[in-house]
Amino acid sequence: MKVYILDSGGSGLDKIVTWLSEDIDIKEISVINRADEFLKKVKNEHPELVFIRLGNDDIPGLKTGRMVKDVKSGIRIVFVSEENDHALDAYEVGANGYLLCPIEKKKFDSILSKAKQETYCNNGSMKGDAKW
Amino acid sequence: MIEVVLVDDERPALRGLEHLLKKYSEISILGMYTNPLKAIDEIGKRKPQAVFLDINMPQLQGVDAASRILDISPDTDIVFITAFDQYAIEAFELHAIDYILKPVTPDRLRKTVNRLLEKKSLTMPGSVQKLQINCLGKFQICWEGQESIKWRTEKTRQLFAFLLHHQGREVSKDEIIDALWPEGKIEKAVHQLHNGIYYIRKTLERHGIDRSIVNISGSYCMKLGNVDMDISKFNECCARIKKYNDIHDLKEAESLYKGDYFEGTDWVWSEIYRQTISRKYDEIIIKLADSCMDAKEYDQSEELLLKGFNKNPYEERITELLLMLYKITNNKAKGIKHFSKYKKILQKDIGIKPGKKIQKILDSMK
Repeated sequence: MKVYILDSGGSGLDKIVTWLSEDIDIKEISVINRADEFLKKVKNEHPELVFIRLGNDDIPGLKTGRMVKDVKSGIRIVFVSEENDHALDAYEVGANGYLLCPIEKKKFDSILSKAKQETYCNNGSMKGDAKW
Repeated sequence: MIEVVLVDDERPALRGLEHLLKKYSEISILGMYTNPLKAIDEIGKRKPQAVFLDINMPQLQGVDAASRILDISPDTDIVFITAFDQYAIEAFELHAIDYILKPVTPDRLRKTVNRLLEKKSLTMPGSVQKLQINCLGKFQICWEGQESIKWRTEKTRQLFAFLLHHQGREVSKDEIIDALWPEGKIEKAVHQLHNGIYYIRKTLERHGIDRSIVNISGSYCMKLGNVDMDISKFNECCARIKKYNDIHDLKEAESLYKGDYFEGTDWVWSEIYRQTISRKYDEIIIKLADSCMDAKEYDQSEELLLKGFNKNPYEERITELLLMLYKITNNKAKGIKHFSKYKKILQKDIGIKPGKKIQKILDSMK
C-alpha cells in the first residue's frame, strides 16, 4: 500500500509517519509539502491512501482533496486538522476519515485498518500480501 | 441494485426521503421505519448495503443507533441525514460513508448514491466498467474502451438522445411526436414511437446495459444510473467554477467540450440547449485564457483564444483578449493580421464594424 501525505510539519505529522512506518503493509510513505507536487505524484502513482492537512494557509487542503478524488475516486482521503469545523466539507469532498489533533493512536489505527480492509477487498491481487 | 433501509422518527421526513430516493433506478428501498429499535432488528436480519439514518431521534441517539447497526451488520454503510453539523466527526469515527445536512437536495443525494454505487462496483469485480455517454461533439454511447453502440435507424438514435436530453423528467407521447415526427399521420407516428422504444430496449439489452444503468419507464422517463456522461461532468465543472473559480476546473471543463452538444445533428429540440452550452464554453475559454495570461503562459492563452475565435468569431471579448495578448507579447504583426480577419468576418456576416475598445487596443500597440 502506498501512502502519500500532504503536510508541512503540522502537529501530529511525526506520529503519523512513525505509525505508518511501523506497519508492515505500508510499502511506501511520502511526505510532500506542496499541493501541486503532491497532485502530480498522486496522478502518476495512484496511491491507495492519502493524508491531507487542513488549516495550513499554504496548503489548499479541501481543494486538493477534491482534485485527488477527480484523479481516481477510489483513492482514500483522510484529512488531518486541529479543528473540527471542516468535517462537513470533508464529507462533501468524499473523504474517508478525519483525524483531529492531537491524534489518538486508537483512532488512527481504526482508519488505517478500515483502509486496508477495503483496499484489499477491492484488489484481489493484494490479498496474498495481507499479513493480518 | 443497492438495497437500503430508511430510518427517521418523523414520518413526513421519511416519506420525503423515500420520494427523493425513488428517482434512482439503482436504489431499492427494503424498508422504512420510524421506530429505530424495530429498524435495527430488521437491519440485522436483512443486512442492507446502506442505511439512511436521521440522527435526532428521541428514543436513541443517531450515533448510538449507527454503532448498534454496525455491530449487527458490519458491512452496512451508514448515511447520516441530519439538521445538525456537530456530529460529523463522530460520523467519521464510525466510518459513515456520508453525512448530509437537511434539507436534502437531489444534487447532494446524487453524490451519496454515486458513492454507494462506486463502493459496490469496487467490491464486485467485473462491474467496475462504466457506460460512457458523450453528448459534446459526436453523440456516442459505449462501454469504456469499446466500440460505440450502433442504432438501428437515425430516428432510433434521435429518440434515445431526446429521452436522454430530458432525463429524469417524464415526457409525454405528444411532446415526443411533436419533436420527432412533426409531419405525417399521428397513428403512424405513434407506431414509430413504440417501435423506436422497443428497439432502444433491445439494443441496450444486447449491449448488457441493464435497467440499473439506463431505464426507460412506460411513461417515457429516462433514468440514468452510475454512468460517465460528459455533459453532466461539464455542468458540474461549470457549477464549481461559479463557486470557486479554480483553474483546474476551468481546464477540465475546457477539455470536456469536444464539440457542440449533439454536434452534426439538426435536431431542433436540442438547439436552445446547444447554444446555452456553447455560450458557457465561450465563457470558460475567456476565463481560462485570461488566467493563463495572468500566469504568463502566453502560448497556451493564444492557443485557447484562437480555438475560441474559430468556434465563435463574433464574441468580441475573445478578440479583445487576443489583441491584449499580442500587445503584451509585442507582436503587432499578429495583432494587425487578426484584427483584419475579425473585421472582415464582422463586415461580411453581420455588416458591422469592430467595437471602439478593440480598435483602441490595436491603436495602442507599438
